[in-house]
Parts: sequence; structure tokens; C-alpha cells
Amino acid sequence: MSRSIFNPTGTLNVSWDASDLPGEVSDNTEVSGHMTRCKNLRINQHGKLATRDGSAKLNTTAIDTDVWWIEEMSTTGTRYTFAGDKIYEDESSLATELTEAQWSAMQYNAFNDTTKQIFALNGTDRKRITAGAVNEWGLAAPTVAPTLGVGSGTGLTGQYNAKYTYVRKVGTALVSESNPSPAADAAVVLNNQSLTIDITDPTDPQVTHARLYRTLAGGSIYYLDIEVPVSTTYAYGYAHDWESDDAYIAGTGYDFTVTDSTHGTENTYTWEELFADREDEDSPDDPNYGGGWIGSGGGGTYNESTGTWDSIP
Amino acid sequence: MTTYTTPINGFDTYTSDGGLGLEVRIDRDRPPLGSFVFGPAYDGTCFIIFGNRLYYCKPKQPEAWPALYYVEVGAPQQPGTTGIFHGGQPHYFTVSNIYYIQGTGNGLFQPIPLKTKTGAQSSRGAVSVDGKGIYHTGPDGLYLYSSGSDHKITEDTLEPIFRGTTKNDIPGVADMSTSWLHHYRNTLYFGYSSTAGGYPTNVLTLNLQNNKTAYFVYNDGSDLEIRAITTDDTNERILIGDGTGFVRVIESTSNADDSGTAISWEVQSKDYTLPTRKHFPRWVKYDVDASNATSVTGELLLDGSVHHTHTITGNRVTRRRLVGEGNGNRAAERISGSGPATIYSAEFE
Repeated sequence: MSRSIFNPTGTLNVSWDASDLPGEVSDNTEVSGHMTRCKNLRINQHGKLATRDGSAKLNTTAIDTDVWWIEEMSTTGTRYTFAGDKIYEDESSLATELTEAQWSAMQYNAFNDTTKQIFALNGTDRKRITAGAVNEWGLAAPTVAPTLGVGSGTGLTGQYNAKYTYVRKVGTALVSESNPSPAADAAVVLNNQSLTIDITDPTDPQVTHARLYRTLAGGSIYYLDIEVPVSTTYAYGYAHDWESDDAYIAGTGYDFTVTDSTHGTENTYTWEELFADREDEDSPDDPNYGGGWIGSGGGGTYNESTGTWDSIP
Repeated sequence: MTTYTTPINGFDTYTSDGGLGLEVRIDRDRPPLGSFVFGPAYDGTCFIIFGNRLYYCKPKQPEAWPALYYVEVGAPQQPGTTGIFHGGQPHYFTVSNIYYIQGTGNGLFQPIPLKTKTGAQSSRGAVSVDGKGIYHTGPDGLYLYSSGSDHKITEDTLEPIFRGTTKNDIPGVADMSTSWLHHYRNTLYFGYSSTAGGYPTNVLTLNLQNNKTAYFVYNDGSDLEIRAITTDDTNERILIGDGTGFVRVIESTSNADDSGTAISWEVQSKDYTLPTRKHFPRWVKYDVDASNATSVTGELLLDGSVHHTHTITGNRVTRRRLVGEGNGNRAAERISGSGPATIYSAEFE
């Protein structure tokens, strides 16, 4: 009689004819470890096979089914999943209405930024992802040229032009800066005067500052003049809807407010134009009838440590 | 509550010319709208594939991509599919070629075509494994580029699968464009679809130590479509995103099933033949630990058909199991089941 022994020491092979797979024959016994099937079995221990390890869901509620990419932030363990038209952070939606296409991503941080971030793209969208936030990857250059004028100061004589850039700073470190805007259409000629520069507000919320560059007198190369924080956003309350939408009762007899054309509001008191409160203790998070403050600057002098206005100009 | 944003305007400057700062930079372009990003290199350079161009950023400044910081790699008709680092240097792939990106820094990068048989068929179609080389996907199999030569590593054992033929219940490859390769510890995973345009439901694993392969399929009621895969370095595990919207950990030693579904498995021996006569099997022994399994079945096959079936239970109960009368030119043993089990050997006479 002949004896055949199957000892799973070989490999899965569906390429060879199953009867041509090698075996060792001695004393009417053939021993072979080669396999023609090996499904869901671990092969990492010599002489034996074991059922492979299992799997488990991490999220209980399904996200979009078109999963393009998963990136695990190596510093925090947070998962970022690009699926459908969304980006998820630990399976919670973080960004929506993106292009549905194959994403790829990498992790890195700029040399002067200690926070590792995810940079991802899909051919249409380019995103920079940090904990809880999805921003554009890089800063788009301003497309609108600055408006130049003659200021009230003194000191500059000659022909000047200017450009500006948008900047993202982390703390005091400049991490990203856009390319410059176009130059003003026409240079300004000054005679011991100062130069005024009006620029366009950024629409990208990651911009923290703007940098203004101007030429030397008669020059064509632009040098940094000043860096300024971007716009401050104020919030203010109102008692009646018409205060918000200007739908107040027609007729001068009822028009007891003053139109502030600069800010597009109707004010009862002049201090409202300043978007500053009375000298009581309103905090930024507790706006009163006079208005609250949610920005990083103000019309008066705001003491962030105490949450009060020290003075109102 | 409403808001108002004060514009930033009306700057009135009279800084003297000597008081001005640095010249404005014009090399802060946004990254190109490419198809694949990888990096950083050891010097902080990141790369984006856009058509047949390989863009790179200013070192350590991943948000500054000067417009002319790129090299053209190959013909425009052959866009790049993916890129990886191997030996510290970037490598760029098309579907038919691999390019070694030589040099460091702007103006110094040069794409050098390697003598390979193919490239990478998808954005996840190449991985670098230290000490081994570059594993990459060809249209007809998996390749390993190492020490200047490219070897097709699946031809000897898995060739029918890559010709689209289902063999021994391992589905044939239908679409390499959605396939992926992933390397984790000592195993290389290759996911592929057996449906044109579909996403991988089948996984072939290659043990990088003993070069053995196995076929995996994940099933929690239906076969999971694995659309994305990554390594969770923080928790030391593999994560996948499936076609039902779940992120899962796989290859988890903490889990013995697939989300509550017992894992079905099978193994089959070669076909044993005798040079001058037929097999007339009388008995079979199974050396299997089935003590924790849901079910285990042993089968003796003669000429490809099941001749006798045994139910296997217990831990390595190796008594002789009689088989019915019959004979065949080819005899094989198959053991299958579900749930945790260990297979040591099988024997028949």
C-alpha cells in the first residue's frame, strides 16, 4: 500500500498542474506541503496553518461608501477618511461638497510649524487638514490690485507703487505667504507726503495677515513695508428686525436713528459707530444691547485678560 | 445678531526707503492640481504628479510650489500613476515604466528610466520594502524590482489568476486599475477586483520571510469591498475603508471573526499520483485542532471529485477514519471549516 501525507509547509500554487507539484517519496510514502487551495489561513508558522485574524468595524454608523483614501495622523492617531464628496475626522464629517475623485495624501509640516498636517489632493481639490479644520492647501494670490493715494503724513518723495500678499502665521512664525497681487494701475507721485494703500479683504479664512510691499522712489522692485492683521469681525445685537435689514418705518418723523454709511447700519448713539460698548463690563462672549466683540481687535482698547473695555475713543 | 467685517485698508505709510524689508517673493504658487502626492524626501521636498510632470515644492515648505519647479517624465501620453521613495530617492511610475528621480533640489532632478518590465497600474500599485526592493503591479501580475532587475513573482504560483481565470475558487483578476498593494510588517497585501470597474474584494498575501502566499476574503455577511487601506502607526494595525461605508481594523489578533461572522477557510493538498496504478484509499487521518472552530470538514478527493467526507472535531484527534470503497488516478485531501482552527497535517492510505 502507498501512503500520502499532506503537511502544509509549502505554498499556495494554482499555476502548476496539481499532480506535478513536488513531493518527497520514500518507502511507499509521499510527503508534500504544497497547496492548491489556501483560503483565509495564516502561513507564517512552519508546519501548520491557522485561521487568519479577524476584523472589526470602528464606526457604528456608515460614512459615504466611496472611500478613496484613509490617512492616519501619526502624531495623534486621528483618522482622516476621504469618502464620496466628504472628508471625515474619525468618521465624523469635517468637510463636504468636494469633488468625488481619487484622493491621495501625505503628512508633513513646514520647517517653522511644529504641527504635522495632512496635505491632500484629488486633481480638483487641494486641502490642508489639521485637527478639526480643512483649509485650502496654499494661499491664492490676491487678484485685485491695491488702490493708492496720498496720505496725510510726510517723508516720501518720488514715484511709488505697491503690491500686497496674504499671509498665514502660526504664532509669530510666517508659515505661508501668497504670491503678490498685481501692482496698482498707476504709481503715485509724492512730494514729501505719505502713501495710502487700500487692499482687498481675503476670502480665505486661514489668512491671518496681509503684507504690503512698495517700491523705492522710482523703483520697480517691491520691498516689505508693513505687515498687518487681517480684518476683524464684529458681532452686534439689535432689538428690532428693521435694525438689521434697514426695513424701518418710512418717514422722517419716525427716523430716530442715524445712518452709518461706512458700516451700513442705523445707529442711535455715536458710539455705536465705533462698535464699542459702554463702559460697563461686557465680555466678548456676552454681547449686550450695545454690541459684543468677537474679533482680535476693536474700536476701543480691549483688555483680553479681563474681558473689559479699558477705554472708548 | 449680525456681523460686520472691517476692511483692512487705509494704510498710510511713510517708511523711508532704507527702512523697507525684504523683496517680495514670487515663488509661492499653490500646489498644482495633480493626481498624486507623496513625500517628504529626506530634505523636505514633496512631490506631486500632474500628467507627465513631477512637481516639487521648496524644501520644507509644503505650501510653496513654484510654477517652474517640475521635471517632465516620459511622454505626455503616459501620465504618472504613482510615486514612492525607495532607498531615500523618489521613484515615479507610469503604467509601463519606473523612473528613478536622480538628484536633489531645483534644477538637479533627473528622471532615469529603470530597466523594468512594467510600471504600476494604479495609485496604490507600488510599495518599497526595505531589504527586498520595489513591489509593483503589472497588467499581468506582481513584480519585484531589485538590484537592477525586474522579476514577475506571481508567474510561478498564481499565473492563471492574473490571466483572469478563476482557479480553485480564487477569482481571476478583472481590473488592475483599482488594485492596491500594501506592506505591513512581514506581509505584502495585494487587493484586486474580479469585476471590471469594481473595487477589490479579493486579497492575496505574500509572507516576505518564507515567500508563501495565501488568499484572503473578508466577509461579514457579504464579501467586503476594500477600497482603501492604510497603516495605523499609532495603534499598530491595518485599517481599511470598505464599500459599505465602514472603517475597519483587519488582521487584528483581538478578533477571531469578521465583525461577528465566523471566518470560513479551506486548504487542499496537491493531487497525489502513483506511477503504475490507481489509488485505493482505505482510511484518512486528520491532525487538526478544531476545538474552537465552528465547524471543520475533511474530504478525500479522487480525480477531482469528493469521494468521502468526515466531520472533524476536538483537538488533534488523529484516529484513522475509514473511507468508502473507490479508486482514482489522482487523490487529494481538502480540509475546510469556519472559525478558529489549526491544521497540522492529513494523511491517507
